[in-house]
Amino acid sequence: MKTILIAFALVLLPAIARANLKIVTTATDFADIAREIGGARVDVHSVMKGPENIHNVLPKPTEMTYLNEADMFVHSGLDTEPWRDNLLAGARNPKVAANRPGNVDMSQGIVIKDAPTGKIDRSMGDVHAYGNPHFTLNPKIAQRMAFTLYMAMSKADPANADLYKQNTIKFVKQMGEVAKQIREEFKPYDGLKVMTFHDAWKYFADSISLDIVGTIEPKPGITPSPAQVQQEIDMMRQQGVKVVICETWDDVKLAQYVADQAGAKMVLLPDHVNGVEGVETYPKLFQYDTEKLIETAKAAGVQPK
Amino acid sequence: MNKVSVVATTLMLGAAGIVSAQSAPATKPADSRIERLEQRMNEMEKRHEAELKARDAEIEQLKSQLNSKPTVVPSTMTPPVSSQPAAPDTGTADIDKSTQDMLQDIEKREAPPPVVRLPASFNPDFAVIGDFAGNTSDYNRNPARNHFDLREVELDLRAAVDPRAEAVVILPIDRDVADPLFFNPKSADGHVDTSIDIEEAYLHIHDFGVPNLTANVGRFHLHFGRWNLLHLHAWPTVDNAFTVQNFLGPESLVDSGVSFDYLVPPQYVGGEAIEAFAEIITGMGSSDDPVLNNDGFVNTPGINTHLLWNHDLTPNWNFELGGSFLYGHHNDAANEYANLSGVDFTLMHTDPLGRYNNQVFQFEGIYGNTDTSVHHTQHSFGGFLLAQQQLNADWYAGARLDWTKNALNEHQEVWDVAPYVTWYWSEFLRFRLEYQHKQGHTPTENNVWFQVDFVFGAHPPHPYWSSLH
Repeated sequence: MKTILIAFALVLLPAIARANLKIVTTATDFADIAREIGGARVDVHSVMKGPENIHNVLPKPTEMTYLNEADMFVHSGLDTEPWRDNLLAGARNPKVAANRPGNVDMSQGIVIKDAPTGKIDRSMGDVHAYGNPHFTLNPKIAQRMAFTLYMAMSKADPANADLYKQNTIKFVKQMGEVAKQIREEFKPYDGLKVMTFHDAWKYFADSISLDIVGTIEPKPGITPSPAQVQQEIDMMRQQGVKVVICETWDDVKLAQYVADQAGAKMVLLPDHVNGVEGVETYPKLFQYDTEKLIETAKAAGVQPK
Repeated sequence: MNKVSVVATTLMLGAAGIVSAQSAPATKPADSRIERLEQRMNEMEKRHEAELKARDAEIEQLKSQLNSKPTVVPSTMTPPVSSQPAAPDTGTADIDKSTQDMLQDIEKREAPPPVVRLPASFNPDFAVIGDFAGNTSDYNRNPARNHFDLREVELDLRAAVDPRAEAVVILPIDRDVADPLFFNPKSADGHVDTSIDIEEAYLHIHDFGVPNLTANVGRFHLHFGRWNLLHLHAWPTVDNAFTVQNFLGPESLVDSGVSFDYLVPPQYVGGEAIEAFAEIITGMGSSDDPVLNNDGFVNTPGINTHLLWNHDLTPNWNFELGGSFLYGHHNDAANEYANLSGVDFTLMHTDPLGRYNNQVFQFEGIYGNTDTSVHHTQHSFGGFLLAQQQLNADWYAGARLDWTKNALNEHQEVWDVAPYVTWYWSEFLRFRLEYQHKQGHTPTENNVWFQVDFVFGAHPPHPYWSSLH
């Protein structure tokens, strides 16, 4: 009898060892939150690797294999990832299909900026039907996303719900500290006028006081004509804009040209976790972006207040 | 009083918690548990105090509002009664208020602000894709040269029809001048053929109880190689690869039937992405197709199979190897068989910095045994290579190299080299310029192609490799 029990336990052991929640995320930011909440109890895979444009990620068929075996699929809920549905269809995993508990919409509870009303069409560029989808760039929103993910994870794995709760509280507090820290650090440059390449920084501008005067793209996803570039340079000169923000995946040469012509400095900033080396976590992303902005403002001769 | 009772309750709960914690098997020192309980009790007390304060403030505010309330509230200050959520029946005050509000509205002749209601929509996703192409050539006897036209407008409709199934309908409206791969000036008529066709119309069943298995039922592009799945506007070059034209059809091989698609559970194959397709088709093909060119007379179904393996060599290098086999009848004759075997290979590199230094290399080869009579079988083969480099967010450059024997005459061959550049204004508007040198058992041609493609509406993304945008 004892032998049978031991054998039974040995058979069950691998199943218990495999009990980790398997989570696939579209973005690296969601992956970082999942790791923070789940710790050693989760296996997390992000389709996006970090530096690329989240709108244009190439989900290769190998990504389907991760999602095929996943317990949860975590995504923006908006049209940020137009490639998401193809990936989901290819994975053929009912657990993470739309409207199932394993399909986690991280935009829940978040007020989306610039949500269009009325008719939209492509004369507005690559406009997003639900509004500006770059909401991950804000530590307070990261807190809300952690809550959303905690709720989903604790439902999917009630046995570890207490652990997830404790880790979520820790993460939320940490992001609160980060939010305070970057706001304090940036205070001497409050109201800094910046030009961004893509319209990806509006939520970040809520966490530190940035004045985004315009984008190099005349409309979302549209490369500017030479005349439009000149207009932007003129506008920067008129308004005294001294800093140009370029996302890691955007046209650095053009951003540099605009900055040079306008007498400003260009800074390359990651808009997602792992966007550049050394930004492996969410707190580091905000700290890095804030520090680089301050450095650039100093280099551009902006006087601290 | 409230405060005292809450603190007492908290203490009792805390004590109960301590007792239960003590009775449970200890995993941590008891001190830390007591500390946590104390901390929790303190938090609860603080929270309750805050709640009481907030409630007191709210009561004060309501009292002051009540004192300063005018005897008659202008009805425009309150939303229409009908828009308010139903309140529990507490007497007749709400009815009196509603009557007063309405009388005031009548008196003032002031309508409440309109309520915008967004209806739920059962409309399908709908997209229109236009393809305009033209060419200039040093060979003028082919009516398809020195010619430009709107080659195709494609209507793409798709919607879920059931929780387990969705439907896809693709209707191209074509304007074609016949442009055979092996051109014979004697048979050219230059007639512009305008037609609407059912290119694809199928039900995609994605959940019928068998894990990892999906099925398409209807009319669809056959899973033979990689290019045959692409619609005209999604080709990386202006014209179709010669090998595909030669063995499968001018645009693609489309047929009706049922297609099963199985993703081999990754845990059984070391986490690899292996997908198998099995398709039972009518075997009709179409009159334009060189190999399967039967009509409704075809008396036995055709079978097509495809197996692919996709693998990440490194995080930024991915390759895919596929094999295909098709069996059917040729030319309406029960005794003329056609067997096609195909191999395809795609190697893709994506920029590790997330910018646009991306490359695609692709090879596809087909070997065909096609009976052109009861006594003659043509053993032909062909292949093409494609290399594409993304230059920046909007620009691509590439080249295609084709060589193939005629599927219906193994003694004839044709080849070409076709470099091209593609310029995306956005994901929805694209321009392409292509040079093509064509030679073989067909008149030698030097062509320059120009193409414009546009999309409006909801169009799903293309396969991962066909566009790196």
